[in-house]
Parts: sequence; structure tokens; C-alpha cells
Amino acid sequence: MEPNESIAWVALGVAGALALIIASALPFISSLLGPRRPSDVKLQSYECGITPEQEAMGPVSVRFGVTAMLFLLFDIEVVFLYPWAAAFGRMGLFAVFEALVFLAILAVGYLWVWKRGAFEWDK
Amino acid sequence: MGFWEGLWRMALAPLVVLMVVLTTVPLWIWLERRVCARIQQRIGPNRVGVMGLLQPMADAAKLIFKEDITPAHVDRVVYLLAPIIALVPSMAALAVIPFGDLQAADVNIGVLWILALSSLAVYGVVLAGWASNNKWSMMGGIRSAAQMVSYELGMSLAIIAVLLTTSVYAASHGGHALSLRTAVNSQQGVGPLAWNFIWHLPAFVVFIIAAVAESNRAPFDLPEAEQELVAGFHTEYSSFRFAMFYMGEYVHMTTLSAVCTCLFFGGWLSPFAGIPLLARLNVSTVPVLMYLAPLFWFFLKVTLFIFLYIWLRWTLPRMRWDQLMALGWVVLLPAALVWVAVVTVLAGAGKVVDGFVFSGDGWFRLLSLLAVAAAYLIYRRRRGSS
Amino acid sequence: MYQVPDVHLLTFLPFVAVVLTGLVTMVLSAFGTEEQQARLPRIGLLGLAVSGIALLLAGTARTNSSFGGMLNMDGTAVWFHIVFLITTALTVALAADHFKDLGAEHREIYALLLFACMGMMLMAAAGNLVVLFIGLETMSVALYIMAAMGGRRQESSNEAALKYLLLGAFATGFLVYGMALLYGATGSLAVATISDTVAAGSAHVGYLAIGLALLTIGLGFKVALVPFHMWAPDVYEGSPTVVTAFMAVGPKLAGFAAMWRILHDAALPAQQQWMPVLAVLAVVTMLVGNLAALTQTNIKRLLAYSSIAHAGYIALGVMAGNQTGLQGVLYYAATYAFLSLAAFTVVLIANGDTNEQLHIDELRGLGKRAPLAAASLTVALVGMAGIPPLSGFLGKYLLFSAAVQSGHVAVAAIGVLCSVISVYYYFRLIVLMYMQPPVEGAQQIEITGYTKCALVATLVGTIILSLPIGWPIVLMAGWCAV
Repeated sequence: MEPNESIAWVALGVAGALALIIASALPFISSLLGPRRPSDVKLQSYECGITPEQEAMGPVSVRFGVTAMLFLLFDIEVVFLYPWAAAFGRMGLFAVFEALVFLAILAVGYLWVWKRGAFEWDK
Repeated sequence: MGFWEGLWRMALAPLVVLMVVLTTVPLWIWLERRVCARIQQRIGPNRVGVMGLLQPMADAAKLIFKEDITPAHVDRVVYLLAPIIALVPSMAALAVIPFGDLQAADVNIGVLWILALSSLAVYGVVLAGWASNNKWSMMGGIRSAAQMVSYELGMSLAIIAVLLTTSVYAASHGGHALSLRTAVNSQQGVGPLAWNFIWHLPAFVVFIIAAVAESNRAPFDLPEAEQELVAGFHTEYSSFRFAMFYMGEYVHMTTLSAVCTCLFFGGWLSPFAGIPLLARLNVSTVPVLMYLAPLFWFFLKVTLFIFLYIWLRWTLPRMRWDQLMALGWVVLLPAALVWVAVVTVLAGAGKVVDGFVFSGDGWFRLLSLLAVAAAYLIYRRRRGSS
Repeated sequence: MYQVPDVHLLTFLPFVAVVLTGLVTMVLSAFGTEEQQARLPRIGLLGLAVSGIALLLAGTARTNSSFGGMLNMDGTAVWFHIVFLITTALTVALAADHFKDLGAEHREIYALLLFACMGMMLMAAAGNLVVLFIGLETMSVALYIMAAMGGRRQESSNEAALKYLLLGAFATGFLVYGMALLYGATGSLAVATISDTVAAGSAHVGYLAIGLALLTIGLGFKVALVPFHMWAPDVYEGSPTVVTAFMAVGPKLAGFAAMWRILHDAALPAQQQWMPVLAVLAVVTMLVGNLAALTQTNIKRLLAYSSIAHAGYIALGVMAGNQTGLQGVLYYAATYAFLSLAAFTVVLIANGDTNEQLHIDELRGLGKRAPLAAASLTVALVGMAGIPPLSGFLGKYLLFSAAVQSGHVAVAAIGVLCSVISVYYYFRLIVLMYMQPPVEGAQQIEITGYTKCALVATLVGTIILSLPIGWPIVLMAGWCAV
């Protein structure tokens, strides 16, 4: 690794650490400066003035699960495309055909998912 | 490399970049309030400081002195961490953005870093919603997770399309295909005509729409839709923890605008560069302006995008949930997919006839313009006939 | 400019045929008209036939490796491919009859079967651990879904699918971690490079041992070696019988193909490390499988334990790691495929799809109610017991002699003993079919259409593999094993 490159990685780490420090310090300072006068009503969950009946951390519609799964599938396909795209300039026509086959299979899967109603949220 | 240069590049440059970006947040908030006031035929904040410029500062000072309430039924650790998780990724993502010569960390995988961190940002929102143990928050958090992952696909595919031409450029001119610096360099040419937003128009449109949705702003602000969900995932947050979500939104906007500027709008390049007569205005020979001009152009472009965000927010009504998901999955994703395939073919064809009349890039540009024009004409015709 | 990998279309044409057919059936299962959907089994069979022809063409290719050694279409791979294609074709035929009247989503089984077939083929031809993994996952994910296609007995099928998914995902974790450690030990994922590194003695001994152990656990789960077999009886029982028939053959044999690729092709120089482990696993598997089968009264559980026992026999061949061993594995794979599919086909005929009980008493009097099915099951059971002249005998003979050649006389002796035990529960079924009266109200069963074709095909296949015609095929297996 060239020295310039390794310095860049250090800088990246420093930037991440700085972001973390700044983001953690701000609410900490605020909690020191602000008043602290808790009361029962203040500490209640906000439901427009009505006392909450039950916990909110319950199950949600299974549709979100389907979306999550589809995202995983397509995101993995996208991840496969990144190294290919980065090397595209240095590869010959092979890269073109390779990607077209890949995209064609992906498109078939996409059409199938579409037809089976995974994208219809109003039903 | 001396001690000072090393220190600058390893620690001070990241610090400067983060500080500059954090300073822009109040500026954007001010801009938003003034523009929205104009759009609604009001005046907006104009009392604190010149033209009300200090108003966001006053707001921040007020928020920092407010009581930091942690409701009784929340999941304490996650509740306290969530605002930090929401803010850190979008701030850290800025480290790889080249603002001209100024860049916090010139790593060669900038695009990957941006994508990795922007997909982390969803955690802050969804964890805040879950940990609050409040039905509004929960609903907002889940919605936001679904929305952000849905639009991320279109966005990453749009970036891949740009990456392909960057990669072709990198192969002949040197540089890393995944570095944003290379992406900007590949757009050198006759002013804006060489910028990617023209040659990658479909990808640009997909990217812009996805970027608005990614930052949870109107018309895609369903996670915090006031009429249905009070304030969505940050209903239970108060004091500066609330301000952090607020800041996070603007930092996220800044990051996405900066990425968009690099990938599609020629980054720090001057719009006059390479144009025969106007090139006289090129200041790159004047010592001080040489450093300031790229910064100026970059921030001008970012400001334009922020203005676009604000304009959209105060002009368009909110979308319905099923329309929102449909737009992401049924319009943007396939559009980006098709565009990646088209670019693959066009850039591949460009490589075959490379050096014939144009360079590989040139061929791609010509063909891409023809493809978009043809698509438009077909669309017009079909619309006219039906 | 990157080097474009060597691509020889002939070597991967069999895969292309299966994948394209899979995609076509998948699209038709969602977009096709009723008429087109009724033709799905035929399209699937056609694609498998085309793939078979392409396999013959692959034999004429100048080279058997493609994509820079990622694919390795040697004799072993081709032999396994033929077995997989036949297995998938027979399962498609069974599904054609038994999934016909179920809901529209059940028509995806053809696409899933073809994708699973492609995954299995990839496993058998893998020249790189990544390819092996992709094949394994393609196969497994398709199987998880198929296990849940319960039709009218959805609940038990869902339970089976969930068990299979959770344990399968867990086993995959072991497998991937094993691959990572193998990479750590040798610095490569290519089978040939790993082999060279291990042979040169430059591999990290500890990582290599742990990596191989984890890989054996992961694949041991897929082929249901004791003690990683717990899922098999439950999943076999709950899954639709058509899927169970496939599951008991395809993934098991593909698992052994993968095991051969890893343990033999990649890690043969370290044989002293894995041989004793595999010997112990094989012995325990044979004992537990056969002894547990003795007490079963559910026909599918009985066959599940029997399939576990058979995994033990095949593991002997892998353990031996010599040419006779591979010859035995190859021949036994073909034998077992026909025998097991025949047995499950008869279960389908005798018990139907909707039956929850599947008690072995339902086979009573099958000799009168469905003579062809009873005869076929008899041949299958006698074959599985390893009684000459049927094909199971030849297969076991090869596997046990391979074990003896590798110096494991005691292990081979236990294998013979287990075969003797198995005679008891196999013959109990034959006694039930021919010497017991049918249960009250049982009717004649008419066997028609695809099911009849499948039944006859398994019968013919078993007879062809049996003595004396079977001997040339054994020699052919030996030729493929070189």
C-alpha cells in the first residue's frame, strides 16, 4: 500500500471517530444544561392525551417482511454488480455479455415477483 | 511529507470538513424557512441577525437548554443511542467527498463507503421508532425502513450506471473506478456538456428521486407524516436528541447532494471550463482563487440541489403509501436496471469502435443521447396515438 | 486488461439447458394460461432431456474445465449429472400427477426442481469452493420452499419446512466457516490449488483440520450422517411425498459429490486426518439408521431412517478415498436413486398425498390391490437390503471392498452386519403386502399416467443396474472414477 493511501485510511477512521464524538457530545451537553423535572404525565407514551393501552413493540404487517426479503435479494444482486462495474473498463466484450446474462436472469425474477403481487400494497 | 502536512491530511482535514458541513446545517435550515415563506407568500424569519440568518442558531441554543425527557416505557439504551446512530453515518459519509482539493480522506473506494454508510442511516430511524415504544413511532420507523431500503436499490443501480463510464475512463486515464475523484475527473470537457447528468439522464432522474426518498423528505415524508403519525419516529424525542434527527436530515441531504454533484454535476469543475470564449474567465491561474474556485463551484452546486429539495418539499403533496412503494419498486428499480443494461451495451459498443472517430467515452455519449431521444420520441408517439 | 477466463460453451451447456428451462417454467407458472401451465411438466422433462444430450456433447469437448477451473466436468461430474437429471425427471413426473389439482402456487415446483437440479449439478462439478457453495445454496433454498408446498396437509408441511430451513441455515454456517478456514489454511478457494498446497505441506495444519471438520459437519447435515441426521425423519415425514422422494435422493447424493470434491479432490494428502472421523461417522450412521428403522411404523419415517443408513454405506466409499471407493459411490448413487424413488413412488400410490397417518399397515394387501406397485416396491426393498442379484448388492460389494482396501476390515464387517439387520424391516413390508389381508374397505388402486411411467422407469433402471447386465455399468463407473 502506498503511504498516501494508508494516510487516507487513517483519515477515514479519524473522520468516523470525530463524527461519533461530535454526535455523542451534543446530547450529553444538552442533558447537563437542561432542567430535569420529570412527572408522570411527561414520562407517559404520547398518544394525543389518551393513556396508552398496550405495548407498541408488537408484530407488524407481514408485508414489511416481504419487502425486507426482496430488498435482500436485489441488494445482493446489486452488490454482485459493483465489482463488475469497477472492472468494466478493463475487461473486454466478455464483461458486456456476462452482465447482460446476469441482468436478464434478474429481470425474469423481477417480473415473476411483480406478477405474484409483491409490489401491490393497496390489496 | 512533513509533520504538518501529515497532521493536516490525517486529522485536521477531516475536522475541517466536518465543521464546514455542520456549519452549513443552520444555513440550510434558514434557507428552507425563507424559501418556504416565499412560496407561501410570507416573509419568514428576518429578525435575528441580518436577514434572520442567526435564527437557526437561536433555535439550537433554545433546544440545548430544554429538558431531555426519556419516557418511562422506552428501551433505554437503544432510545438514547438512536439519534447518534442517525447522525453519525451521514456525517462520516462526507469524509470521502472531494470538495476540490479539500477532501477528508482520499480513499479509492469512495462510492462503496457512501453506499455502506447511507444504508446504515436507516438503523437510526428504525431503532428510534422501535425503542420509543409508541405506536406512532413504531409505525413511522417501520415505514421508514421499508421506504429507505426500497429506494436504495434504485439509487445503487443508478450509481452503477455512472460507475461503468467512470470505469472506462479510469482504464484509459488512470485512477480508481470507485473513487469519487475519478468520477469528477471523467466529466472534464466542454463545460456542463461533459457532465454526467446529460449523458446519464435516466440514472440522474432515478438518483434524484431516490435521494429525496432516502432522506425522508416531502413528498416522501411518510415516516413522519404529521396528519397520521404525529411526528413519526421522533414523536417521543425532545431537547437536543430531537435536534439531532433534525440535523441528521439536513446532513443527509448535504451528503446526498454532494454525491449527486460528484457523480452527475461535475463536482468542483467550473461550468465555463473548456468553452472557447468563456474559458478566459477561468481563474485557475490566479493564486488564491485557484483554491477557492473549485470550492465555490462545488458549494454552489450543492446549494442548488438543497434548493431543489426545499422547492419539492413545499410544492408537492405527500404521496400515498402504496404509491410510494410502487414508485420505488415498479418505476425506479426497473428504470435503473434497464439503464444499466443500456449503458453496458452502449459503452461496450463504444469500446469496439474505440478510436474510430470518438474515444470510447465519446461514443457512449453520442449513443446514450440517441437512446434517450429515441425513447422520448416513442413515448410521445404512443401517447399521441392513444 | 484482465484476462478473460477460458469459456468452453460445451462444458456448461448442460447447466444452461436446465437453467433456461427453469426460467421458462417459472415465467409460465406466473404468466402462462391454464393450457400452458398444464404443459409445464412436459417442458421440464424436455429441458432435462436436452441437458442430457448436452451432457453427451460435453464428453466430446476438448477440455473438461471451464471458467478458469471453476467448473470441472470430469467423469465423476458427468456420472452424477446423469443421476441428478434422472432423479429430477422422475420427480417432475411424480409432481405432474400429484400437484396437478393443487393451487396455482404449487405449479412453481417444476421451476424449483429444475433450479435444485442445477444446484446439485454445480456441486458435483465444482472446481472451486465458492461454486460449490453457490450450488449448495441454490439447491437448498429451492428445497426449503418445496418442503412447504404441502397442498392439503399444509400444517405438517410448514413445520417440516421451518425445521429444515432453520437447521439447514445452521449447517450452512458451519460449511461457510469451514471454507473460510480452509482458505485461511491454504490461501485459496480453488480445489486444485488447495490440493497442491496441502500436498506441499505448506498448509496450516490446525486451520486445515478445523476447516475440514466444519465442512464435514456442514455436508454431513445435508446427507444426514448421524449425529447430524435429527432433521431427516421429521422433514421427510412432513414434506409432501413427491418432495420427500426428491429430497431423499438428490441433495443426499449431491452432498456426497461435494464431500468427495472437498475431502478427496482438495484434501487427499490430509487423508490420515479425516479418514478416522469419517469411518466413525459411517459406522454410527449405519448402526443408528438401521436400528432406528426397525421400530418405525410410519412408512415415510421408516424410509427416512433407511436413507440415513444408506448414507452410512456411501460414506464408506468416500472414506476409502481410493478408486474403488469412488467407483462404489458412483454406482451406489445410481442404484440408490432408482431404489429410493421406486419406494417413494409406491408410497405415493398406496397412501396418496392427503394421508396424515402413513402407517405401514396401509400397505397390507397391496399385492392384490396394485400388483405392479407391490412388485416394484418388493424389488426396491430387496435391492436396498443388498440381496443378490439386485443392484444394491453390487453397490454394497464395491463400497465394502473399498473399505477393506483402505484397511478398515472391521468397519466393512459392521456394514455387512447392518445390511443383515436391514433385511428384517425391509422384508416386514413385503410380508405386509403379500401375506396380510387388506384393511377394511380398501379399494383396488389404478396406476396411470406419469406415475405409471415413473414406476416402470425405476423398475427398469433397477433391473438394468442389477446382475448380470449391471456389471458393464460398474465398469463404466470405474472408468468415470479415473
